[in-house]
Amino acid sequence: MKIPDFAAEALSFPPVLRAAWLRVDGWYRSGNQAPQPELSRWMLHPEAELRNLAHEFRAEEWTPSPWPQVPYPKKGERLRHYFMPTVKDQVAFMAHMVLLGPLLDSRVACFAFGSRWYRPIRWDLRSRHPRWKHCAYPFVTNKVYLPYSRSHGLFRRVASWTVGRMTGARVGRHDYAGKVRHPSDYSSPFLPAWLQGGWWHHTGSGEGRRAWWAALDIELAFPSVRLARLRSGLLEMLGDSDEIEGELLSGYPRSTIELLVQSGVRDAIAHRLVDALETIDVALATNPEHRIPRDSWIPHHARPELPPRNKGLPTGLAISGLLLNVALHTADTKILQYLRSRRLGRRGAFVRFADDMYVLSQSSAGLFELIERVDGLISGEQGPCLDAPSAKSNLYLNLEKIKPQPIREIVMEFLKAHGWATCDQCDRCERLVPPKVREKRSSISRWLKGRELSKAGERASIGPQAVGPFVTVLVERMSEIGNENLAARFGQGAKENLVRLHDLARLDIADEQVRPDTRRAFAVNRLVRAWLLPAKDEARSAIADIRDSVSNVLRETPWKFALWRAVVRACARRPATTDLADDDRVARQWLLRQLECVAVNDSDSPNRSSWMHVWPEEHGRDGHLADESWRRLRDLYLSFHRATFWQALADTILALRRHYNRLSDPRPGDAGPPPGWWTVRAVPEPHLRAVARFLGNLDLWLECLYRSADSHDAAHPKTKLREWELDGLVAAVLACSKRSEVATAWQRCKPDKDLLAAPAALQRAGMSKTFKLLKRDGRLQPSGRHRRPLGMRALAHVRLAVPDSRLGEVLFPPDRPSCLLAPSEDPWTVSLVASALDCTASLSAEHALPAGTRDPARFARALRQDPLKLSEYERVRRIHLGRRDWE
Amino acid sequence: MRSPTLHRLLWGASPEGGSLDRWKIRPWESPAVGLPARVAVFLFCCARRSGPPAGWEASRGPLTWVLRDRNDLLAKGRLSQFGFGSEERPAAGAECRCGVESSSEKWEVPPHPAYFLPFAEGPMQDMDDAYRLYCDVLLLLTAMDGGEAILDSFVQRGAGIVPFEDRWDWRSRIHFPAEAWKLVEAVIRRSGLLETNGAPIDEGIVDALGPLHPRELRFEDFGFERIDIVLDPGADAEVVRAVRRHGTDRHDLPRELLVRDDELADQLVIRIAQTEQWPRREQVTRQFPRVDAGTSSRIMEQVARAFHYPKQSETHGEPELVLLPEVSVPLREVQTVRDLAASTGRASLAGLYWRQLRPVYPNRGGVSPRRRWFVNEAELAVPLGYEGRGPSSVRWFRIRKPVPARVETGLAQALDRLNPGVCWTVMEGRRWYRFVHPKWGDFTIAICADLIDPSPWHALRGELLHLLMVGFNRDVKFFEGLTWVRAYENYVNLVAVNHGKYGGSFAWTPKRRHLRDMATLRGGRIFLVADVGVPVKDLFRAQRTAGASATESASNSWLERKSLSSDFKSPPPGYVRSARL
Repeated sequence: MKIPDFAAEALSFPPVLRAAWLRVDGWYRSGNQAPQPELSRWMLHPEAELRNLAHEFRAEEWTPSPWPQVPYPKKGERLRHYFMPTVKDQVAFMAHMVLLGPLLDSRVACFAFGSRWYRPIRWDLRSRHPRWKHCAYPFVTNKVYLPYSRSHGLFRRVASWTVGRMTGARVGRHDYAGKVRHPSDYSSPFLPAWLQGGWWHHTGSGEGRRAWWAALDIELAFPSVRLARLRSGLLEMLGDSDEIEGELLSGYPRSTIELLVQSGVRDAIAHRLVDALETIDVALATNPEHRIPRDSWIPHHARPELPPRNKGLPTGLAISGLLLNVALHTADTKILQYLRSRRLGRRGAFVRFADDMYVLSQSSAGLFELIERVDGLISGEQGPCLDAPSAKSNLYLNLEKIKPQPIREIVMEFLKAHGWATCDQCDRCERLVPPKVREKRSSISRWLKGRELSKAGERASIGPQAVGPFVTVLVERMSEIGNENLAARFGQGAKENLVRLHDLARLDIADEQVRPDTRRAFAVNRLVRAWLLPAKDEARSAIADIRDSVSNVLRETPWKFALWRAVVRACARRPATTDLADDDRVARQWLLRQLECVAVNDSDSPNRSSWMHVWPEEHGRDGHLADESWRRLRDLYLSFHRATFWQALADTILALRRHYNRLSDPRPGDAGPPPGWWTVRAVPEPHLRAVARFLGNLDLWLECLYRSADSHDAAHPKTKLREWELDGLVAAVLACSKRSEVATAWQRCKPDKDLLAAPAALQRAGMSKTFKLLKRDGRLQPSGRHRRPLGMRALAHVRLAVPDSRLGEVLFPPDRPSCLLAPSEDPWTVSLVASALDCTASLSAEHALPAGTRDPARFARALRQDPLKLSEYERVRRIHLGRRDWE
Repeated sequence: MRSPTLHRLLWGASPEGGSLDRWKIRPWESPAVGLPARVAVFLFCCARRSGPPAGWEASRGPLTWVLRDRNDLLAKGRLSQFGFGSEERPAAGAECRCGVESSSEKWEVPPHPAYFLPFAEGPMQDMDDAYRLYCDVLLLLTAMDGGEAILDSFVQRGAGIVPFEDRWDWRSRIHFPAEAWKLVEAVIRRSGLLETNGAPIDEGIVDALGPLHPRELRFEDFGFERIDIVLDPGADAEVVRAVRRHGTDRHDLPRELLVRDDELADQLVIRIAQTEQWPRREQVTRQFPRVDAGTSSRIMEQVARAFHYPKQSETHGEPELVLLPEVSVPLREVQTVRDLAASTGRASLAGLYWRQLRPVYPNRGGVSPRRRWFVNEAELAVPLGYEGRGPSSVRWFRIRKPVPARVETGLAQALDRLNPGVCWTVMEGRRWYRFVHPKWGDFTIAICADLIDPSPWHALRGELLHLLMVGFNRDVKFFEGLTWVRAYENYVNLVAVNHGKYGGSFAWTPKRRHLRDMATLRGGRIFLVADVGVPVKDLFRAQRTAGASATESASNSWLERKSLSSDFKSPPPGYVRSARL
């Protein structure tokens, strides 16, 4: 007799899969890169995809497919370790975490703040002393983690309050996130022991109290995690099931809770999860010229063992953040034990946000002990350690990034004294590398005794009058600007808001807590959606200033490729009373200047503004790469910049068209887009369509980006475009077209693989060069003679275009059979897909509610077999009741 | 012919009228207008009493309510909610002879997927009674809401993790006592109560809904609902709600709904914000009911200034309530006003721009319904727990104008002429709210022409300290007199804000001579803001004692004796302050 596989049963339970899909959908909507057209296909009919996945789970057939590596730029001459998993794999991994996430997160230490599993909190107004309380973990939500503002806000506040307790300083009273100002606003599970009574023992008055601190960071934390240790960590954290039946999972289905109560089921799910992580592989680009070397992201002299030798946690996988917390859980627990074991007066504190940490101590000697101990525990050693040759956990502190500087210098000098030396193979590299043979070592504090350096260590302390990075004016300013209020919309308030944002974008503001690139990106992203004054000249000059700030920031932070969204939005902005032709001309010239920076350009090209010639961050290079390698890497960067531009262009055009459609064809009772939409602020309502059309001048942008030195022809850059760049370009083509046009064009083509492509019949004026390029690089689908029904692949492309009312006529012509899906497709699926494409009005009577559901008893029985039918039924019923002839 | 079910009653009313049997269900056209609470609870209790159909078990599928409307009173009552069938109205006091039966076979619309959730989530053995109760509760929520938005949320997001008693977006429109919400939640979550087969919870819900349950149903139950709400920012947000027929059951207010002298403030500072921005006439009709972004922005500029002005007088203190005129705030900015209330700690009473009611199931393909409804509403947004720490939670209530003005019925007619084939109608409001605030006392809200009809004010006499009015009046002189009459008649502070297009806002208190006039703002096409400190404690004292004092004073006068005179006028004859501890 076959033993039932309860783990497979739990994972394939349709409500669990649906909950996983909703989280993944939300994750993509929050700005993460999505593989298209796969995501679009999922959105057309998620239940069909979930059914397939459920089947694979039950048959134990699911394994992750190879994931393409994405050249996600990083500051300096680096790429990030970043993959783009398929949507299916994201959902499959997420299903594991829908089940295990709450159990794991509830055991993560309260002093670890990053990547915490989403769990709402509520201000309990009913109690006599209102404070924040945890709610249960929601089963159905579109959020994966706590929002950054909340988790990072608490991280900052806890660090500030800790310093306040240690030094007597009045810190942490500012409005960082809302009006919460005091630890007493939180119930105890939120706060670590050092913010509760009896932890610190102080002698002397508050004036004399000092604290020593250091900021630490784990080197390449995600890819360094050892999966074997992750497995044991998971099993350890899942061992106890006391809370499962209580409040923790109160929103979960009963049957799922009954399965999770069994430790065998939990363990089996954990094993399946790690097994799947172990099988992940990298997909190489089909074009050998475009292959990214597997190790292109690995910095020189990296201490951890990295992929492919150690699989690690893939960045780009939505659940990796929580898995990193699991990997660090044992270290967290032991650090807390260690902190408890220190005697009063020599106590310390530790707070962590993902792989960034603060350690605090009441003495400088205590601080160095704590640093060594933290390093040892993270490395998997039992005792203090700073220079382990091979850490058991494969996790190492990034010694180069220790802050503040005096502490780092002491650590570096200590290491040099123990045989560490700069690399003699690299020209400009100053990084210390460990000796081949480890010397016998003492502790830093013992080594430091009597040395001159110890005075530097003593000086690197904070006191009640100067609390170093733990309170910053800048964070307060950014927080205030972030909480956009009505005063910033009008008159003097709007002017002041613009001035503050320009200051943040342009001035050099020294602040240890906010990196300049983060500050600048924050400022320009706010600037492009800021409210302007209605007067024409004032608005024009404000838009010009905004564009100046955006282009400055783009040049100063060339690794922030996401700034292209701000660039395109800045280009789209128009004054409330606009002279469209004139404003278009100015916007066009400005955008072309920005595009020239990232244009494809050979060394003999006349275009000297291209970053291929002068990389803006040249001074930031650490000199590891030879010129040729550096040129190739730069080429990769620029390709990614161009891809991001095309995608930002597509998103912006779609947003403008969506706004226009909402005004021109309003749903009953629709009062129009709310003021939170950036398009409401950016473009006057009468000009939405014209601005979208202006941005849709693809040949113009294409010509600027791909004009080659030898061909002078935009359609013939020397080499083929990379996959991600072509994806972006096709997305822009689709965003410039109506769904009905795309559908008509696809009827004559046959999409043969899951690849974003433009149908040849979609060509029109202003896009000829674009199509020529797409044809050369294999992204143009040739037209055939016959009209075909549109399959899911083609419809996924249709969904990426602009909604329009004519789509229904194209898909469901009254005089011919339906052009939607194969003729054999069941009516229910057709209705669902039509609903996802917003063309249900043209559905004919044959697509009415299927007969099966007219008998509720029969439908109830069918649900026992396939609960996913319920969400399909919900959508079909909605269409059905909206029809005049529904009876 | 199918037997009529709840869904036909909810979504089938049309001007053709007639008995329920002849109605057709029009989900693409009918707006989500709930049945009055007393009617919905009556039907629920009837359904509970009638028991399950013979031979039914959970596996036979969900149950619906089949209605037996023997004297057509349900149909007539429902038609009256939409303003149809006025010629067929029954005689006053006519009792409804209706019955409700449960049936799994007589569904007229495909059951909402929420009814199938238990089947999708687990086995259903021995769950017959619990499942029947589950179906009845879903039907009750549908009846109260008029649509299935709450059921949608169950299907899309599950029952969620927020307790139902804290779901203010539901509770702002469905007025159950808190205890009833807890029991409804237990049924929906099916949390540990299914094992007991539902028996105890079944009785509990009926008991908790007791205050809303009429012994017999009359045509008048479809008329006005009176809803009393406690606004207590310091403690529990809401104590109890009573829904009562308008003008009846006087003096039966529970203790929680009475004003306590010792907690009242000396005065309530109200800010009159007479905004003057307004869409151009042709914009109103061309893009009805949308306000374009430019106009919306100009309006909100004045709203922002109204909220952010510092206090205007040291003697008055900080304003606690901001009044904005009728149809002034564009709908896309409603959330902005709530956020302003939360961030400034100032409550707001804002007249909202006309709103079109969405059909319960709109056609998604662009074919718009022929019959369309719009409403004129005001929103009271009160920040609770605003004490300088923690976030304040804003509770809001929508008050719908009960009697449309000629301007509005005229607007509907003009829209019909501009869009042939479409029929616009103004939907009347049927709820009258009385709010009880521990510091401000009790108050109610009127929208413009509501003030003309004396009957609601007569019913509320002796139960109010303030009457707040948002208006858009051309005839300022007339309203000046009328507002004073209502203020004196009800012996209340009356603060009326008019739209700045015409100007003319007033604040009256029932005092003698010039003291009665606390503020008068005149002048059209001008944006004005004024803070008025209206007496609270003194007026409450006067409401209780001024009658006796005036009699005493009159007696002394006959006897040619001197007596102490008060600033307050003597109350009108027959006035008694009833709602007090």
